[in-house]
Amino acid sequence: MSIIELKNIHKTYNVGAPLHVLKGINLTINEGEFVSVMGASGSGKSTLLNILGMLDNYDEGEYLLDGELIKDLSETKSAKLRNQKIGFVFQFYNLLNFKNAMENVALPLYYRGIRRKQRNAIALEYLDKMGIKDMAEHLPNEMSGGQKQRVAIARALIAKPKIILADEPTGALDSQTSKEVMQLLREVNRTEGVTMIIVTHDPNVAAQTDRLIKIQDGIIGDN
Amino acid sequence: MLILLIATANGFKHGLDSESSFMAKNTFALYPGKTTKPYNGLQKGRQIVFSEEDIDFFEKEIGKMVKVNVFTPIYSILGANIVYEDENTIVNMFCARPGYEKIRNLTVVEGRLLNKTDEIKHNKVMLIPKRTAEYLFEDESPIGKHVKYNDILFEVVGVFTRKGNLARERVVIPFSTSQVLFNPEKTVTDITFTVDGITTMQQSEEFAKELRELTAKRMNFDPSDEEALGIINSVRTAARTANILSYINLFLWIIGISTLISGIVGVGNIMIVTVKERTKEFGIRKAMGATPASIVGNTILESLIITIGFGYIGLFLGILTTEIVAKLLVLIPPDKRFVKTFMDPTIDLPVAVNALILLIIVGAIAGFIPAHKASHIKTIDAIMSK
Repeated sequence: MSIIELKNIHKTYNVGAPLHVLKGINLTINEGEFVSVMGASGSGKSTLLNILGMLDNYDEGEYLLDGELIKDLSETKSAKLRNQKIGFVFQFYNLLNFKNAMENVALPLYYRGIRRKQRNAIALEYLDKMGIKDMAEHLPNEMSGGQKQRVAIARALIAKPKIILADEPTGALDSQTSKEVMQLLREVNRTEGVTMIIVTHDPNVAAQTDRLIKIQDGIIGDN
Repeated sequence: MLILLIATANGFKHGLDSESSFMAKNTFALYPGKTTKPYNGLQKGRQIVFSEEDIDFFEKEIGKMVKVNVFTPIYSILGANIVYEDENTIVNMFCARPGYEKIRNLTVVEGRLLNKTDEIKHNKVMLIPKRTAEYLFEDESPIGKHVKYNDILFEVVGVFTRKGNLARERVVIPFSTSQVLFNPEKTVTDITFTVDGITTMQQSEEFAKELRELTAKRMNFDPSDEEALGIINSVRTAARTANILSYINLFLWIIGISTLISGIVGVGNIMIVTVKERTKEFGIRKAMGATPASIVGNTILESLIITIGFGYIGLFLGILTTEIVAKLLVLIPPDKRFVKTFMDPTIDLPVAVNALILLIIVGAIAGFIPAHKASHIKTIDAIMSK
């Protein structure tokens, strides 16, 4: 059962001269897969991830997410879909600095219209799953990189998404913490059945996934 | 700021209003003077004197020209010493016919006005102002008591209040009484009357010219001799006062609106900066499922909290200041005030509320424009910003 289906996706950036980044991507990812996307910088892997996450649009082709065609959606509609289907984990965490760990985790639920008390309770539950319940009242700048990334993963999970898109989730962490975070993502994949797509340039990280997708010059290389 | 300015303007307005309102706004008065030009073989320097026949003549003739409401000759005694038991006070005594109260905006608070019987019978009765009553009689009621002027006893029949501030209080006695007691020559100080139907400055000046011609003909002086007859034209005075006030108002509104505009720019700038700083946050929120509308809504809310909060504080401080100044001004007696035409510098509540509403609208717009812009930056660009 495919959850993501890309058919001949093209993307060109207009920065002075037109820059053809994605040159016809065809890709199918099934539900519950644990895949990594690798490629040199400038190969288009981040662009691909942004399109998958509906953070950016594409020029040509078709993108089916969970059977739904994602094309020229309004901001409001894509915000809703993101909220329901996709969880993000970023390289530099992207937590809100003025909110504590619990409030950061609860943020996606705020946009679902869940009341504060309830969403904070759920957020605590997820922090507990990540093993950092005791950090709930701390602000992001009082936490280590690994802790911040755990908060970010909890935030990505809380809305029970179908897919988690992780852009270099271990890029800013030391090797020990990297390992722990990868183990955590693997566990989430196994226990919650969430499709996990990890963009990385670290072969060690890629090796821990079930499937490797290589991007070269805007097209998918041999897997 | 705006509030203080408008309050200041209102202070002058109230001051000028009260200054000019001791006289009804449709009053004309003729003050005879000395001629400065020879006329018809008569020497210059002749004192014009209105006799009783002249007064009757003018009453009749002016009545033909316009609709006269109240007409009275006035004989005034300036600096009259009024005595009650061992208290005394210096006042100006105005001797006039009944109806004088309509010309000078007098309101009786105790007792009665002067009436026709007083006039016909030369009654020795007197109206006194409230402040004089309080001074001479303290807590007692002055009605029915007798005050002495020039060893003649007058019965106090009424106590009045009036608008406006005058340096010296005025008491009123019947005109005929004064003619009998103090004025064997039967001269008058002036003739005062109120008219209907003369409202514009132009009308009033034409009417004043006709009055001058009429008087010149009757009293035998050169109509171009300004000194021979003084004419008080309160229609013109009121129009002039209104003119000055409208300029003061306009000026202050311009300053006020400029202040408001600089406030708008200030709030707008603050919002642009905060929104710019928060672009990344908006990006993250959008990745988590925030719609552009929710981001714009939140930003406007914040902007509103700022403007309403500070607007309210400003409004409160402004009104507080003006009210305190107004209260303090009342404590200073009128004749000791630095600026006499400054009174009750307060702002009307609707004006203040309007200013606040304007500020709120401005705050909303100042929040909306930058937030709307920021919310339409591509999500990924917003996250990657900074």
